[in-house]
Amino acid sequence: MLILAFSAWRLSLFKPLSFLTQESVISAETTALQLRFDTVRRTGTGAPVIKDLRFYVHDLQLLASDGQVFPIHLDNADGEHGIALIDMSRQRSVPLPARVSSATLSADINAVAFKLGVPFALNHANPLTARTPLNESAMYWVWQQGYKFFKLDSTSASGEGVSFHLGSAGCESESALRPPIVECRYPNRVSIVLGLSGSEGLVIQVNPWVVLQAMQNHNMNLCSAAANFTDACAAALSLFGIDPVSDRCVGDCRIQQVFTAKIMADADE
Amino acid sequence: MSKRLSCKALSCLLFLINAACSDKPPQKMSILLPFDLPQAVIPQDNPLTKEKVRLGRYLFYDKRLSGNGSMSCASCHQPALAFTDGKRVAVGSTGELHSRNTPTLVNVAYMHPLTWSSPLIQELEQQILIPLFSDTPVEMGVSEHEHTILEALRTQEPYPALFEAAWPGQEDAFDFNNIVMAIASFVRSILSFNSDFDLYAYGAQDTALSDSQLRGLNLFMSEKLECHHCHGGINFSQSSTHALNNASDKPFHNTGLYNLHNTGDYPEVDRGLFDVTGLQEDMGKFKAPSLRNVALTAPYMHDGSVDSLREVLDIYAAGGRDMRAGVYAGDGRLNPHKSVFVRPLQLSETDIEDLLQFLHALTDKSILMNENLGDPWLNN
Ligand code: HEC
Ligand code: HEC
Repeated sequence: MLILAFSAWRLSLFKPLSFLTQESVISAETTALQLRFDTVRRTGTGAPVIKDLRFYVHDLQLLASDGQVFPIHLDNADGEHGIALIDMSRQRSVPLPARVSSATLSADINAVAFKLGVPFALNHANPLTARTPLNESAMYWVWQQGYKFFKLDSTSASGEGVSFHLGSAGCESESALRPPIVECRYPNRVSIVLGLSGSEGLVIQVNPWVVLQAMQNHNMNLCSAAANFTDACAAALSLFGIDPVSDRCVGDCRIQQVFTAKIMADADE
Repeated sequence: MSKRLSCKALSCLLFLINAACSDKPPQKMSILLPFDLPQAVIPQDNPLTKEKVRLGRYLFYDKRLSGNGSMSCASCHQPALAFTDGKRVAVGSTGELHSRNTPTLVNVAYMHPLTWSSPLIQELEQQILIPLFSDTPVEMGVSEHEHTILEALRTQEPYPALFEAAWPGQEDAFDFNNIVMAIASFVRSILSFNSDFDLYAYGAQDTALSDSQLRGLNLFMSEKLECHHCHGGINFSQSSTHALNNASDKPFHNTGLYNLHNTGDYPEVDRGLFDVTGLQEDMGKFKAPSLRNVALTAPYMHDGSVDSLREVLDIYAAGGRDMRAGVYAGDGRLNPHKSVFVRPLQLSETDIEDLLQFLHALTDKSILMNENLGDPWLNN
């Protein structure tokens, strides 16, 4: 069981975390949640310049130590799947207005979970007639007939472009004239679960630098496929918790190293 | 050589028939094909209409349809070269090199699947998104310029009338879904069945092919050479389908062009079907391209790495390509993923000459200057 696995991690005992405060209660049922995505800061000479960093998230949840799961409702996400496109190309910090059940106030929340990517059911439809945020053409992964789940484009210190694009690969359609109806061989939809501690506001930090470093270590400037396709892809995807051999998440992707959860006071401002 | 290019009565191609009068809504169009050839399969959600074909032709030749205004479909798919570009690999609007050679669009309405190696891309409506929106590499670079491009088209004559005619009464027909449907419709009208081979095979004109071309045809179809095994059907490609048949399941083959490190690998920039499926057995597998107008579409192969038809035939005769030097050195003849149909052939010099003559008989000169297919902006 996915949820039970976390009870071991927790520290704060039956005390509500303070990113949910009494002041943020919107109604008896819902509570505003202060949530934002940050890019890990990196300074110094020789650092690559990030030109584009965008990714889709959906199915966000707060997890409590007793196994309760509280869905996070994003205010600006569209559709039943609650998909949001987090665009960190122009800003280092992206607030994501959201609300959760007020029951979280009395729960011992010890983790935040979300899925990186676009749900299978929506991934292979005609993107030209899709609604926000699935109508973002930079995220079309047209040669694979789906979306890029995570798009990272950078320029290295030597001026070379380095790109890492993650999405579902190895898809096959049942009939020649239909989109795939069975899951792709390499879904590459990553389930992220991040342990929490501390106080004041929830920040999910994304670290593109480790991905770029992995690509650089393998001397590759493009990974736009699945994990077992090239050594550079294997190294980059393993940072998302995806095993290059099985092309599946190891331990529910918990070994991933790209995302961490912080509480605002702890996050570097 | 007795060449007969006269174009009379039944052999004079493709009439675009439309039952609609100009004040009626667009109606499904059928294309009258010569020699009772079967129709291409047209997707139900984008019925062919004369109005869409006409609009699509303007769009196909319009550089406004690129992020920096420098490139149209026709920049890479030039009618004079049977809708190819004569380059080894295509060059995108921002100067980035594609990993692939530009294929012909002639009779592409009959090709399923599309591109050199994707089993997923079955319809033109899907394929056209790639040159428009892809960023690996950037081709037309439309991504994130959609708004500017649509605004430019909106005020450009004769688009307002053409969009209105194609989608009468639609509140705002200027969107990329319609643009793609119109371009796909035009591309489906790029049809050619007027080569000497067609006159001989479908038109039953015994004198259309020379003796050498006939010998070449017979070699091509023979069990010894097996060319037709992969290059069969209307377009001399196993991937050609029409209303009366279905394409084979996996029409992709490794023809032994590379064998890096003697492990069967193809260069990492393009490993064909493997890059889509991730299965080792799919290494180096590509679609057998159409051979229509092949004499005009040099250089050859998915990466344009073979300069002439003569060299292509030499490679087939050897049962693959032995690259002695360079970064891609390796004996492709020994590639473990190579198709069993590509194996050393005993071909005499006359055989090779006959095959070359036959391949030249697949050229349809009428397509190159067809007044329904050329650049409409030139006449404006
Ligand atoms: C930068 C040059 C370039 C431009 C511009 C371009 N193409 Fe292509 N086209 C190619 C290349 C290269 C391929 C092979 C792609 C592959 O196999 O992945 C191709 C493949 C195709 C195919 C598939 C043919 C087959 O037999 O599988 C079609 C159809 C096509 N292009 C139509 C178009 C249309 C329509 C446009 C304009 C919207 C266009 N192309 C713009 C270079 C270009
Ligand atoms: C096993 C299937 C197969 C057989 C048999 C075969 N071909 Fe091919 N042919 C292909 C494939 C696949 C390609 C593209 C290979 C690539 O680009 O990697 C190709 C490419 C070509 C091309 C280049 C066309 C272009 O536009 O680039 C020509 C010409 C050609 N074949 C002619 C022949 C002839 C002549 C024969 C018989 C001697 C033959 N082929 C036998 C599958 C086959």
